[in-house]
Amino acid sequence: MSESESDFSPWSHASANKWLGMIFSRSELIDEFERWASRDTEHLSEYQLRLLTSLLVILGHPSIWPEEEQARLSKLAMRAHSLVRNYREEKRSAQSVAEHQFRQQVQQDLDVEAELLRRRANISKRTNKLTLPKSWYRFWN
Amino acid sequence: MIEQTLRNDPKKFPHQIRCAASLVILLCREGLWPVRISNDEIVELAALARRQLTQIKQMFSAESRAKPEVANTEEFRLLMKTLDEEIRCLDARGSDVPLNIPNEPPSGWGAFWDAKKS
Repeated sequence: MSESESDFSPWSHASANKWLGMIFSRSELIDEFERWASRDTEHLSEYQLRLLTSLLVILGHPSIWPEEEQARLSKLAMRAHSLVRNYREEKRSAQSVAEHQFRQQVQQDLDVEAELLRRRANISKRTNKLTLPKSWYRFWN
Repeated sequence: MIEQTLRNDPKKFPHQIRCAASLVILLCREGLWPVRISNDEIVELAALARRQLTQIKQMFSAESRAKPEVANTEEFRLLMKTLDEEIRCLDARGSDVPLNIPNEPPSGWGAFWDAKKS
């Protein structure tokens, strides 16, 4: 069982877990994530990068992501981290103040999402409390 | 596949249906969930998941009445509370206005964002 996992989650029952395994396998979702992550930042917009990272955070929950595919989650988390870093370091042409502010906000959100993913994959050992990005406001309702 | 599972008989596949409903809670959102015609499909899928979860809760509740030793446990109460909260999350997904419910994962899901392999 994972840290912070509860026996009352919808994924804890053996038949639920088997169903999840079937969903991952038939949808070839992990292959699709890998194809997506193999692009470089020139061919991956910040929106696509955020979507990839966010979906991996959600589906990378230890009771949802297939246990036997943990190594692939780690590789995807490292790749996403590297893409986020590239995105930050890319030289951009002159921007307006508004563009600069927008880009900074996107970068902040991406940094949090990439760190959440690194924690999911047990790559990051940081334990400080992370606040979800502002744009994830009202995730549960 | 998620929708197909949700259309199954809750008496036969309660755990698979609940698991499918949890993916609806997590992923069935405007701009993320693929829709064929309109975003009404998201509302309809959330409503389907809600109906099925409600039946599952009623089924568990009926079963527990035959076993008071189960019904009176803290574990069973937490399971019922969690199912209620999952149903409320689905209500919120189908609502045009934010509902006055806590912006937190259902109680039995643990610390959702902090969970990682131990």
